[in-house]
Amino acid sequence: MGRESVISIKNLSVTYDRKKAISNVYLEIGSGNIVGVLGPNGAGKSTLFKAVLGLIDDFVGEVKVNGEKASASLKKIAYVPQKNEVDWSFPATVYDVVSMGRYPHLGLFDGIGKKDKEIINQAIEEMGMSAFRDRQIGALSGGQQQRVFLARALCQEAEIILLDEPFVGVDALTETRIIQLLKKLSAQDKTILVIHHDLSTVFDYFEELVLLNQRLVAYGKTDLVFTEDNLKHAFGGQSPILHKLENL
Amino acid sequence: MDWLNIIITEPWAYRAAIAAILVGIMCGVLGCFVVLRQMALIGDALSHAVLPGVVLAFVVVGGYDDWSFFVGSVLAGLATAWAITWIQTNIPTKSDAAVGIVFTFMFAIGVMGISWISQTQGVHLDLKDFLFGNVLGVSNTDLEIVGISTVLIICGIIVFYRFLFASTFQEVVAQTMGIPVRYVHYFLMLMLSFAVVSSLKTVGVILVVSLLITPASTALLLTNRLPSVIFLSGIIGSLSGVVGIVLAIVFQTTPGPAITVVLTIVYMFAAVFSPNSGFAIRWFRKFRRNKKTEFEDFLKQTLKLNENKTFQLHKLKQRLGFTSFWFLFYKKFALRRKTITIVGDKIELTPLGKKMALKLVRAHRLWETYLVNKLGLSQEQIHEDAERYEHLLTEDILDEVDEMLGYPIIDPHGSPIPLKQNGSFFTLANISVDENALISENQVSDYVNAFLWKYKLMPNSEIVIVEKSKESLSFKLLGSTEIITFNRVMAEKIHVLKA
Repeated sequence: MGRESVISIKNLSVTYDRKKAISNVYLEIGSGNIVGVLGPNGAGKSTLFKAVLGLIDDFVGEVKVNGEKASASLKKIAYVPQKNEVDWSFPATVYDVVSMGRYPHLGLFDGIGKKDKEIINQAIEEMGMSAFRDRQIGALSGGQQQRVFLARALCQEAEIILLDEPFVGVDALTETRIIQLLKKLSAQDKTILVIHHDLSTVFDYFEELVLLNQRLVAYGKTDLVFTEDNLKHAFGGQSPILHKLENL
Repeated sequence: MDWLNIIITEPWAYRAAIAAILVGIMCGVLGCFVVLRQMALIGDALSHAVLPGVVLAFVVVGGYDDWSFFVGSVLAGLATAWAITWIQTNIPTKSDAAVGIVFTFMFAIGVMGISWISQTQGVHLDLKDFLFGNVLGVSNTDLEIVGISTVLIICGIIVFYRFLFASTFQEVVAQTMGIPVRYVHYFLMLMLSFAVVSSLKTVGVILVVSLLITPASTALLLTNRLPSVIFLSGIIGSLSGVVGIVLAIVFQTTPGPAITVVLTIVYMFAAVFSPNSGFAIRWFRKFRRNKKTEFEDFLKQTLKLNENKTFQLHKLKQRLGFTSFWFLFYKKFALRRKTITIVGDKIELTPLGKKMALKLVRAHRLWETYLVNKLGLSQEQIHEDAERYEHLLTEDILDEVDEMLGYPIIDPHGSPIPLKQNGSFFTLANISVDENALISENQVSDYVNAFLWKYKLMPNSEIVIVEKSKESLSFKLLGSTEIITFNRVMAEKIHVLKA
């Protein structure tokens, strides 16, 4: 790595209703990386994201983003939730959703100004969505819907982008396009964390991997972390996904 | 026009009408957020909490006063909202059950309190007025309260629109952007209490919720951008409000139920006539699709008859089994579209009609081939499916299917699949003498490719037709003198582009 770490997590533990979600996690993520976060259901992937986003008040340990407390650097982090958590029938257009990215930059009584509008339109343009600017979000294809949220992250001028399973329900072509966009963003020194399930694409997509199963199983360069041994630890020996791995 | 006279001349009536307009606006506007946040039940809860607020104000102030009622009710509303949230976060009760428990309790206390006041305190408070509103009961102070609430709510929404939009659309994302979603929630609760309390005299406790959710739901059927939804909802709310008041005056009934009935009728109209999703447009689209299908069948059956050298009109009618009315209709329609010619009892497709009919046959046979080759269905299973899909498949999809199947020449039943009828495709047989053409890159099969290869006819090489007859076709490569002759059947299989 050699670059300074953007996200620094020390000894993080989170407990919900007396059940441990994650415990004793250490992570130092450098800027400009695309990091895959893998683990079985209930491994605490979402909890890790929430902690970085500053949504969890009650935790043990330390989470720092750019050397500050997570809740102090909200502007810099953009979050793209899972597709099925979004109300796609909501009366909002592509423009409306992307413009949300400007909100953290506005004061309490500010409106969206001329400069903000430029940034919004530029972000829409960069994601190739100009033709759909005024379309209601429910009338978009799965890939276009993801691009709306990426445009919002751009428009937010976020340095860190967290994506929760962005490739679920998206066709192969769109998946390739999205990963290309992510790589482009990472080349602009944005740090990108992706919760991911498909082991077969891990090598192509991610420079670094976080393997999580309540505890941190492994973290580092993909080729060092993505070993059968580590995966067994993360997913447990009987996981069906391992069969896929044998065919690689 | 008695009612118009009453509204213009009687102070109680125009006060009620103005109140209804304002209440309609503010409830309609706020209701958009209530509906989008799925808080209809909470809106109901806040309105029922008004009653104990009234009682509380009476006990504290010791008398009847509109402003103290207002303050008491808003406090009771906020207490209700807080109690609901507290139960939801601290007691393992389902969230809608928590709402139900709190608001029925508040309502019960309120009802008991009001009967206690009327019986023992010497003040006449009619429970019915609180429950369903009373046109006679809107005082000048009430109008002041309603006016101030309306202004506050509209300003609040304009100023905090951003926060409301973001936290309503994606609460978690809004939170990560530093929007104080919890305060936004309580701000909305406060506004909601204002609206509900102000509506008390006009619609009453029980039916306020209809002013909150029905206009917003109606607006959501009609438009799909939040600002226009809010605007439209306000308009629908206020118009229904004033119409309801008029009805209440005309039929001498309580205003609440009248307003609710009007709102619901407007809602039902929107559900039927909404331009995007209404029943009427869906029914019309289905009707149009059916008629298009029947017209296409008309052409297809005519083609089949013509191919069998049969041209009698009455045979066609027999085959289609349409009623006389619709048969006549399609016949006239087909004539007007210049797809058929009719002489006496003889019907024949024009070239245009034939093209349209062949398109259907192509769709039908390609789809059958697809179902057998790709999905592995048996020959008996495919016909009905193809009968339906031949009308639905677009040219693009068909081209894709054609390509995927490797440009098949016959369908599973052994019938030939017609070539694509329009677009940039022509077959060699379509080209006239002395006309130039380019050999296309896309040929229907490897067989054709190999055949062309044999004659050194590469893709994009230009040819000119020299001679054409019923059986054969002669041409030469541009810049060459060697004349090549193909038979007609082969010429029909070779795709070319017109030069």
